[in-house]
Formats: sequence, structure tokens, C-alpha cells
Amino acid sequence: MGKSKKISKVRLAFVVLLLSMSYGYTITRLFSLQLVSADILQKYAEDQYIMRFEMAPRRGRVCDVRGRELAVSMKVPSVFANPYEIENPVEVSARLNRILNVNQDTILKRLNRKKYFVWIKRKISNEEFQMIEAAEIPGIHFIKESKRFYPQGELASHVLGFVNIDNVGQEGIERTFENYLLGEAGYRKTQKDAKKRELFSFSDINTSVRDGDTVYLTIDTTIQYIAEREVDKVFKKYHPESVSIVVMDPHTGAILALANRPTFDPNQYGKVDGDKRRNRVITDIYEPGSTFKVIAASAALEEKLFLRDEKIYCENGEYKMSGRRMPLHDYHSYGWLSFDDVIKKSSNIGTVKIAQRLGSEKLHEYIRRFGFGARTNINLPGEQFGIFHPLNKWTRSSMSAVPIGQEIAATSLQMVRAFSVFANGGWLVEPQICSRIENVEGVVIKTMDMNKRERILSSETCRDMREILQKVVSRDGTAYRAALDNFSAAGKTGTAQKADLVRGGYAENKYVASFIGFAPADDPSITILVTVNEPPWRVRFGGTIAAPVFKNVAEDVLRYMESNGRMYGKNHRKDNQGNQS
Amino acid sequence: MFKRIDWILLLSLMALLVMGFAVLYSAAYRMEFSDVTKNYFTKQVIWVCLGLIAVLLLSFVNYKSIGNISVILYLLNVLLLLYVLFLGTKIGGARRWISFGIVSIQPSEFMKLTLILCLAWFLSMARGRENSLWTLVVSLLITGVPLLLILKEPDLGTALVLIPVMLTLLFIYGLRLKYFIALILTGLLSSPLVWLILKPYQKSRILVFLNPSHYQYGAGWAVIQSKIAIGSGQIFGKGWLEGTQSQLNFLPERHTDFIFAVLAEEAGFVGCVLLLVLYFIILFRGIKISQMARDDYGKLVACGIVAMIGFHIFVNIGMTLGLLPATGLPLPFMSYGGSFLLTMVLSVGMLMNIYAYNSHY
Repeated sequence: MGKSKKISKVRLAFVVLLLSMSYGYTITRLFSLQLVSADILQKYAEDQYIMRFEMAPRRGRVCDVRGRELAVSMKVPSVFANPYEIENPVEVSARLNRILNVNQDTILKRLNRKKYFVWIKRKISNEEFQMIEAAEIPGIHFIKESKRFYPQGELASHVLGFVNIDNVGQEGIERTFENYLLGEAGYRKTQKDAKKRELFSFSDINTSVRDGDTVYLTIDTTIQYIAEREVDKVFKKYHPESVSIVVMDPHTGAILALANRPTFDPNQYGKVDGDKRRNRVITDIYEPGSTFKVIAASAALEEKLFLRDEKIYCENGEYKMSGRRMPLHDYHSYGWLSFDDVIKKSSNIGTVKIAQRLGSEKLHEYIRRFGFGARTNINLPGEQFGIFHPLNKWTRSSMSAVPIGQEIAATSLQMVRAFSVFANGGWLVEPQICSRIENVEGVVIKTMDMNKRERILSSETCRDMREILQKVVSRDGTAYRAALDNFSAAGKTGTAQKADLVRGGYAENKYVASFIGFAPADDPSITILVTVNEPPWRVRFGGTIAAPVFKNVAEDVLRYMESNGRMYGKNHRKDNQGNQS
Repeated sequence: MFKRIDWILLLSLMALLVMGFAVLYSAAYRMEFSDVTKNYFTKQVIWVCLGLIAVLLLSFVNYKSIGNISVILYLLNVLLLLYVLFLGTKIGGARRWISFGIVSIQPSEFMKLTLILCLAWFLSMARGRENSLWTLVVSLLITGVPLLLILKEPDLGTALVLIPVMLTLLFIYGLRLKYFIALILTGLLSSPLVWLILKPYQKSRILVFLNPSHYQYGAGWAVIQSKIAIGSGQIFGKGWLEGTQSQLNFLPERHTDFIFAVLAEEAGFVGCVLLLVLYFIILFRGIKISQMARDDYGKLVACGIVAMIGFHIFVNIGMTLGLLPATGLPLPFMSYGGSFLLTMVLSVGMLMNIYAYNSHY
């Protein structure tokens, strides 16, 4: 056994060392693959065996308050290719170019990608579909995609907004209610083997599609139609910069109609510039001018600072005030006017005097209570909050400007809401655009919250204001053109010079003419705002150009509501007022 | 009797064989032709049974007697290699098999063990001539003849195994270090010449190894798919029969060369470590037995077997991990292949035999 001693322990140890090193190296590598790079490799594995088909949901409908469709989705075919199935991309791209009129180089580039799915052309016409289906090109497939249609065209387009090619809401209701309208995509996952064959034996992981909810607006298509018709008439006749109209239910804040000119067809939103797509009622602010006088007046009545027959001296049309370079003027000069007449005649001097007795603090407080300087929180995108300076920023001239609607800027929506306070007896409401949302099964999942309102004036003050504003519409008021034939009406005109954004101060010959009113005067069903931006000089007054629009709209809308008593439940004709509560 | 059984080695072997069945079953589970699928697995089971019976029979013979007949075994095996070369069954461009109907054997696999037995016997006889060039020359001859015959089949991988086996035996035997180093240097310097005699497919394997992603859809496919399978197995694996790489045919040669990737994908890092631990027990038990052996022959055979099994393990796993070029070496106790499996089981049997005849007294 002596021989065996010649086996060297050192050499054996060397072999053991080699073995151990191999072990170390292997385990390290294993560790780096299975733990360090695992996620990347896992992804590679999934990429090669998982085929995922998305099943797009049908976007929810948008309907008016009575269920008439304003936006619907239809399934239309789109063409896509699986580049792995295409043997001759050059030839295929040439054929696609001929049939679908798409750029051949773009298509060729897509067909050469190492992907299983590339778009060729989306949302093709029926003729294109028939031609390409007949061509039977291997590797070219179809998928039904949902395409948005707005059956009423321009009607209520600023409320509805539109969607992009991927059905994502870009503006209006389509944008703010995206989460409801979108629905939920379904997926079908299947596996494929190394030869790219789909394996049906493997259990598919399916999630079913949930179609989008239906959004019911507060808009009533009939009222909307009336409103659109009337603003269109004015816009085409006088060619102002723009015209806007809002019809609101003063009690609930529900927007019954909202229209702007210029407008656009959401079916072809890409063909017009953003100017026409803007919902000016909420995105544009303006100095309201005389319509704003009601704020100071109602505040003074609420604070019981004036009796309505109290006489106010209107300085014969020229009022010099300390802190003001130029004297304050009235358009017509007046001597003594009653409180009511100050508003009826729209005297600047009289209104400023009312405000002076109120004091700047109270005035500021009431303006804030009326919701100026804050968003109304309507469910539409792009709403502005206007310009309303804090009290410490007011100058010495502010008390002669703010009461008559200068040095302050508001959206049309803020103004129509302010007038609704008088109409509904003292409540500041939150404007509503959506009446309810139903899911695919027809279950109501969201309703309008009408409790979000705040009392800011007493009902007595509001009754007084309604009476005063009714006088404005009377034969010798500034808005006699707003008087209705069959119903009583109330409101206030405004003719405000526009601020000159370039030179400062006010622009020559640029006005915003407006009329805001409600009807019937003593128990109103509707508040209507009409603004005409930059009307021609000869018809620059709110009483001249905006009041007639109010008349035409209010007359037709009330008649329509009357004939749909079940829906609107009121009848306020002048001759049978007594029968109504 | 039972005291002379190396239970550690036996239990590790059994564990490896069971693990091997499970992995092979999964690897063949969704093979293209289901009847062949069953064959792979059943054939493997039969071969394992044969191997275990052989081990049992082997235990009645003292390994020293085997040493005495090792030259005869060697010559018989060389004759079989010659037979294969001229009359063997040709599959896929190579003559490696002797076919007996449903089963075929691969003499080159047995040669791995036969060479160890014969070379160890010669070296134990040549004790005292460690510094003689004659020892080296004869050793080279003993190794060279079967090596060339196997290369001619051609079967590069199997031929390559003989080299580390010879080197280990010479090294452990105590060949003069000068000769040893000269031998290795000659081998390294002549490797450019080897490049010239390599077959085109062998060259492409080396090119693929150097830059696999360049050959992503061609020859590099296997290695890349193997790495994806291993990596996506993560810590605990995707579960038995659940590996997407294995079951969806992304992994080629998964019942033989790339079976480690199947294990790695379905059993994860944990499963791989378990396998490596079992291998570790076998290998280091082999070293231990080599130390226990009181004669040179026992020591050399044990070391040779450890070298052979170890080389297979690390070259195969190294290949599936993308560390080494694809040489087509199977993984011991896991890969499908009757002759190979039988050789591996018999090798462990030899270790147990050496243990048994050195553990009493």
C-alpha cells in the first residue's frame, strides 16, 4: 500500500478547486439569469407566446333629456395587417395603395415591422370595405371599430364636444364624461407555439367587454333647436364676432339649451379651427355692463337701504365724483328717478348712488355671494372664473365702475345663474348639464344633484326684483323689444364697451350687447341669456339686438313647455295667470 | 452487506433519477408525435431499470477484478466503435449507433467509462514511471485510438469528453508536471489546426456561441430560447408541465441537450439549485471515495469518474446558460439517451463498488 502515498494530495485538491470554481461560475450565471435578468427574459417569453386581442367597447350614447340621441357609436370596419403573414410586402402595399388610397411607402414601412399587428387604414367606408374584402389579400384583416356619429350635426355641438380617432373625448361632454362613456375593453388572450400557430387547447383568459354608459343631458333638443335657430338668424343678419345663448331652468340650474355662433359640426371637427369649437358661454369672459346693475340693486333691497319708490337724484346726466378723472355720464340725462326707475332706465349715476349707500364692503360681499370670481362647476371643460378683484385691490374709482358692470368680468354662465336667483326666489344654483347616467342595462347610476344650491337672497327681495325687471320689459323700459306676446317677461339689457386689450382702456365701437331675462315674470320657468359680441354700431344696444332674440326664444320655448305639460308642468299664459300657483 | 452500501451515493442517485423522469416527462409531454413521446419516457425508464440491475450485478464483483479485465473491455469497445464506423446505423448524417430493432446502443458512450477503467489500470501498473515519457505516449495511444474513431463518426462532444478524463487521470497519477504542461500547451497551440478539420456545422456552433443574437433566427435560436426559458423560470418556476418555452415548442432538443432549460423554466432557481446540490453530493462523494481507496486503481477510477460526470454537467449547463458553445453533451441522469444513462448509472455503480470494497475491515 506504500504506492498509494504517491497520489498527491495537492493535485487532488487542485481538481477539487476546479470543480468548485465550475460550481461557483454556474450558480452565479444561473442567479443572474433567473433573478437579475428574469423580468426581461420573462417578457421575451411572453412576447413570443401570448397573443392578445383587444375587444373595444362601444362608446356610450349621449342623449337629450328626453332620450333623443345626440351622439352615437357605430361599428365600422378598419383594416390591419399581420406582417408575418405577408410574403411580398411591396406587392401588397401597391395593391392597398390602389384600393384604399393610402401612401404606399408608409404602408410598406409598416409591413416590414416585426410585429403581429399594424394599422393600414382605420374606419373605412363601405365601398372600400367591399373592395378590399373582395381582394382577399393574405395577411390583411378587418376589425370592427367604433366610430362616433353626431346625428344632429351642429346641434349642441359645443356641449357635446367630440372624440379623436381613438374615440377619446377631446371636448365638451365627450371629455368630461369620458370615464362613463368609455366603457371597458375586453381581452382575449391566447397562446401560440414556436410555429406561430394559435393553440386552442390552452384555456383562454377572457375578460368581457362592458359598453359605455348612456349620458342623458339636461338639454332638450327642441329648446336647443329653437335657441340655435334664433342665434343663427342674428349671426347671419348682423355678422357679429359671436353670439351666445343659454336657456336655464332657474330652479334646478339645468341647462335646457346652450348654443354659440360661430359653431362647428362635430362629425368634421378637424375641418374648423379652435375658435369655432370654443364654448364661449364658459370659456369667454366679458364686462357685463348694465346687466350687472341688478346685483347692487338687489343687495340694497336685501339690506333694506331703499324703499322702491324712494327718489334718487341722477344729476341730469353728469356726475362729478372725487377719485374719478372723468365725470360719470348717463346715456339719457335724468333728474330725480325712483329706485325702480333707476333700473328700468338703466341710469349709471342712479346705480352708483345706490351702491354708495350700500358701501364697498357690502357690495363686494354680495358680488361674491352671487358666485362671481369662482367657477360654477358645470361639468364641461374649460370653464373660466372671470375677473373679480379682492376688496383691497379696489381703487377709488371702483365704486363708480363695479356697480355698473365695469372693472369686473364674468362668463355668460355666471350671469345667467345670477339672474336665476331672482327667478327662483333667492337660490344660487349649480348649473347642471347632465340629467342622469344609465349603464348598458338601463340602470340609473348617477342623477343630477339639485341640492347643491345656496340661499343668498330673501324671497321678498327676489319678488321685488322680478317686478322691477318686469318694468324694464314694459313699453317705456329699455328692453321693450323683449316683451312677449303671450307671456309676461322680465330682464335687463346690457351694452358694454369692450376692453381694448392692446391700448388699454375701452375700445372704440366694440361692444358686447346682452339681454338676460326670465319668463313668465312672476313664476319663471326659464332664464335666458343672449350675448352678441361686437355687433354693428347701429344695433349695438342690448335692447336692440339681444332683446328680440330673447323674445323669440322665450315665446317658442314656453309654448313648447306648455304643450308638454307632463314634462314641464306649467302654464303661464297672461290670460290665465290667476289659475296658477 | 448493507454496511458496505454507500447510502449517500445511492439515495442521491435515486433522487436524481426520479427528478430526471419528471423533467423528461415534461420535456416530451407535447412533442410533435405522441407515440414517440411515450417512447422517450418509457424507454428511459427501461434503461434506468437495466442500469440498476447492472449495478446490482456489479456489486458482486470486486472492482480490482474489473481492472484486470479492463484491457479486454477496452479492446471490445474499440471493436464496437470500428463496427459502428463501417456498419453502424446512420441517423442525421452520423454513424453512432448499433441498432437492434426498437433499441439501439451507442458504443461511444460506453467508451467514456471503458477508457477510465483501462487507462487507470495502465497507470496503476505504471507506478514508478511518472517521469517517463513512455507512460505519456502509451496513455495518449490508449486515449487517441477511440477518440479518433469517435471523431470520425462524427461525434465531437463525446470525443471531447475523453480528453479531460485522460488529463485528470494523468494529473492525479502524478505525471511529471513538465510533461503535463507541455501536453496542455501543445493542445492549445494546435487548436487553430483543429478549426481547419472541423465540420461546417461545428464551426457555426462556435460562431453562434461568440455572437448568438446575430444568428437569432438561425443557429442561435436554441441558445436564445434556452436563456429565455431559464430566465423566465425565475425563482420558483412556472410549474410542472406549465413552461411555455418547453410546452410550446420554443425549446429545441429539450429532451436531450437542453433538458436543463426545461427544469429551469418549470422549477425555477430553486429546482436548479436542488439539482446542483444532488450533483455536488455525487461529485464530492466521488472525491471522498477516491481518498478512501487504498489502491491506486481505485483512486484513479474514482477521480476519472468524477472528472467525466463533472465535465458533462458543467459543459451541458454552461451551454444552456450561454456560457459555452453548443457541443451536444447530454446532462447526466436527466437527458434522454439509453447508452449514456446506462454509462452514468454504471459509473456511479463503480464508485459504490470502490466504496464497498474499501469500507470493511
